Amino acid sequence: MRLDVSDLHVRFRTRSGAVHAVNGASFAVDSGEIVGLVGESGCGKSVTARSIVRLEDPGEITGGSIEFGGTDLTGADDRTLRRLRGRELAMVFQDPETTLNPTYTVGEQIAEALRVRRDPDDQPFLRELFAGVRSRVGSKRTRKRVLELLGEVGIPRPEDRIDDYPHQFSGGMRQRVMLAIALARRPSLLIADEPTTALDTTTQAAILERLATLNDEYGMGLLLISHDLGVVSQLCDRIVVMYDGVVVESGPTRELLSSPAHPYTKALLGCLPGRSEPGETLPTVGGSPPDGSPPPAGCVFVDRCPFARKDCREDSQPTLNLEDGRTVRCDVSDAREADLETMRVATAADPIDGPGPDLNPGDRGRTAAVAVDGGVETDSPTDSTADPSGSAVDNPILELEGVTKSFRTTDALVDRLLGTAERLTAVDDVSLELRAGETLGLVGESGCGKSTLARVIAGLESPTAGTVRLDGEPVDDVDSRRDDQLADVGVVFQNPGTSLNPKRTVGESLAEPLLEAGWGERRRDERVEELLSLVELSPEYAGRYPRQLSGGQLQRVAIARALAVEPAVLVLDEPTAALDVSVQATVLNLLERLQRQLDLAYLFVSHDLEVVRHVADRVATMYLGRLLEVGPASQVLSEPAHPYTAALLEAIPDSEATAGGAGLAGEPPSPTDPPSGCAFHPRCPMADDDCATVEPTWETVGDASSRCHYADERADEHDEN
Amino acid sequence: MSIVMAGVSLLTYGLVFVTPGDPAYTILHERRGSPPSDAEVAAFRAEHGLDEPFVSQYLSWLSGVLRGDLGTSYFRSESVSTLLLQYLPNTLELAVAAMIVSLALAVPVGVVSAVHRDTWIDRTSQIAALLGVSMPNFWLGYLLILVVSLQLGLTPTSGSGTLSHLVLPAITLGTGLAAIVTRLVRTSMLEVLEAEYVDTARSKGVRERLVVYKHALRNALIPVVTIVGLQFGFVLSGAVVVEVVFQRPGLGTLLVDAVFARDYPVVQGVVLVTAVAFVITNQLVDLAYVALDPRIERGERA
Repeated sequence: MRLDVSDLHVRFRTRSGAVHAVNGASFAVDSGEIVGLVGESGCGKSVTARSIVRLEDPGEITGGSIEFGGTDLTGADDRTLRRLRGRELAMVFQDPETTLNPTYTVGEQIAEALRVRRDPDDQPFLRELFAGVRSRVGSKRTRKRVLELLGEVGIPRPEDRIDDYPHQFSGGMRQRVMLAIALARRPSLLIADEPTTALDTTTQAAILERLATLNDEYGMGLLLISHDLGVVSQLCDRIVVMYDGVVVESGPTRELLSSPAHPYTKALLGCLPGRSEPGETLPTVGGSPPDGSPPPAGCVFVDRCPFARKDCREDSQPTLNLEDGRTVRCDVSDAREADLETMRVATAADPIDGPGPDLNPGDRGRTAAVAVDGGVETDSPTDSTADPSGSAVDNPILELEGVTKSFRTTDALVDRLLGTAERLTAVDDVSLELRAGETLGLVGESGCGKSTLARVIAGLESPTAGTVRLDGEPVDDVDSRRDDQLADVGVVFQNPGTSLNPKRTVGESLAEPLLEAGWGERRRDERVEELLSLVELSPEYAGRYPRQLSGGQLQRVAIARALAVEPAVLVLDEPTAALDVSVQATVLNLLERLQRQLDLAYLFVSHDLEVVRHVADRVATMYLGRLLEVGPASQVLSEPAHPYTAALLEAIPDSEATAGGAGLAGEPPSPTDPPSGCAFHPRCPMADDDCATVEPTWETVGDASSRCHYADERADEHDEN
Repeated sequence: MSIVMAGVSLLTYGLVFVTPGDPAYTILHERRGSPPSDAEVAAFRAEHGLDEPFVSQYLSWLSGVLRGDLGTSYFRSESVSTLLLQYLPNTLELAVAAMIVSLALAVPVGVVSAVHRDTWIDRTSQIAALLGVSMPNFWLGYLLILVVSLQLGLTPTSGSGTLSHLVLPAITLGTGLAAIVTRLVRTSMLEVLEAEYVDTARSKGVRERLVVYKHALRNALIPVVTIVGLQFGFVLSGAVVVEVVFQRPGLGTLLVDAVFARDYPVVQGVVLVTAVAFVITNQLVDLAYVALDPRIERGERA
């Protein structure tokens, strides 16, 4: 059945006035087609998706129509909606942590969908309640079907898992259960709202592959909503780009990606780190993102468009039909025809970030110098800016030697007294070093121990064994570190929305580390202002509260706070994972500039290999708490000497790669019971008997070292290619 | 649990010991109708072991309790256990009936209030809940007696034994709790109705009524159960007042009489039984938790 959304308007009433989330979106999904809906956060894509299944509440549809198989859903009654939801239209939401009911078994949740499908109009109240209380799928026929569905979405040993509760599943497995719930209805259209955003790259690859198969086998249409162009381009037949509640461009995937017509699409493609040379300043989208205010009369993108003309602001842009079934909502031919390169030049001329003050590079350098020495001008650490490759580079600023961190898995008193508690080794014998001005990228799947390692370095955990050395001196956790050692390490966490105290102004948050370090009030205030200008925010932000700032601005504040007491090392734990690509680009550029200016060493923890490739000088791959490969980014990420690194690279959804690789089979084993020999052998495509028994030692391959028995062979393979 | 009970026993015994007023004097005065002589007081004390030091008094009482002997009332010359066995069922009956009344009232009203948020239904139930919280038990009791028993003649005004004796006390005691629980259910439901899995259920095509009662309510009840368990103490203390108002023989009336008469063994017995009841309720709450929330049973972190 065909889905036809035309001129959809959705509005939210809030205390501070109406928020216009969708302002006339139009697109269609043919039966059996895979369409990607992309755009940055706040562009209205999720609201559009929810409106299609009529779950837009508390928003309201104020105009337009959503036709599905000939029925206009905007005017459909409850009965029709129940039938459609139960049989034709399925939706998968973003976060599998919250989308499954924690109190019912997965079997029951799938069986419920089956029962609804069988007869949407007859859902006996007591029978359903009873089924809930039993929470074990009773009917043989239903149970068999549920098992089939679980198998179909790739859950191993369905008979053992059917009566388990959602919390007993990992994120990827839960998303598969969600898929099974959706498939139970044999829908003709599946709407997937960021189905893989909360998952690891490897899991993402597996889920996307599953979606493609299902589309193939059942001819099920798919509307895939994502902020990630990589994901969308891998799977979709057509792409629809949304901006500020309006569809700005749509067309077949290949054409749209190779020659985008709308300036916004171009900007979006341009700021992907994978499209730039490592270390190069990323092109960004100037201006601030839309805020849900009433739509302007003219083009929605006009404020951020380098090609904007006077009439763009006043005249509504027509939707033009180009060749190959593409449409674009832009009337300026220069803009449409400009290639990505011109776009880069055009955007580079713009100030890097809209809300920031206009500082030229010279100014920035000066403020930074003042900022760091706090009054005394000589002998400040930033003086090395002039000579980033100075003598200090030879001595690592941070050294880890055999660092191990394990946790007890139970708090039971008896286990504690007897020492019988199982221990979970989160970080196992990790040795690393980090030099000033260097960025070390730490990659691996979730649960591999990268965040624990970051916490050990920051002193938030003390290592169970091994030594952390700062500037050559061994340190333990924060309680035992000296003030200057504390000041040496700054930390930036993943989610700035939760790492900043919502009840404190930005200024107070920034002043806190200074207060701890014993700075006087005058100096503190000056420093706060300097810090803000360092991260390109104007001084008035000091008086604002976190909720008044956008995600990108919040992360700037978090970076500023980490820099407050002049650290030598910044631990960045997924600093851009929660941000949109265009915002990510500005934050990455900022980090790059700060590193050059202040000669900082970065430990950059990320699951996104494209980002790591862009920022890192060296890369370390981590698996089950162990390092598997360490080496220069250029080598490790192009000619990996460990099959795990290779698998991670293959899992990147890439617009260039036409078919996804085989991907990684299964999930990481439990860290409480790591496999013998090489930890990776159960999932490794090239593992043999040796791997299962003998733990590999470090092998040197080129400039990198790898913990694989066959590292050399891999290297030879690369040479042949 | 045993630690809690030991603490409770020590505390009740100690508190009674330090309260002003001499039981020997009070009791003998009452018996004779005139102030007793010093010799009589001393004899009474020796008879009941009141002249021994606190520790040995406590220990002998405790060893008695462990053997199931709670001592003998100073007044009625019946054993405390007999008195408790006689009065406890009445109070339990009242407490359980009050709990049933309050839950039967609170859960549906709370749910309806949350589902129809910010409508007249919600506002009415909120005002009713506010009234219920602020209205003193005894006042509501007398009001009900006036209207239902005296004006309408539907129920007896006092006493116990039949179901009709139970209705008014249970309503009186239940409404206060119902008001608190209503607000709790409402808040908890509002939160749960925002949850993504509620939308998941809707997107499956599940009827709204089932979405609310099957998917949302069970999750919403988890925090409610804790509070209801804790509120059981409130019910027991409320029972004291309500029993007096309706002249129901029960632990409440027994306790009040015993306190006025300085009948210490009875006071201690009642307090001990109440404490045991409280501890047992909390164990039941933990069990209810496991039944409601599968995440707890397996001892895993959510």
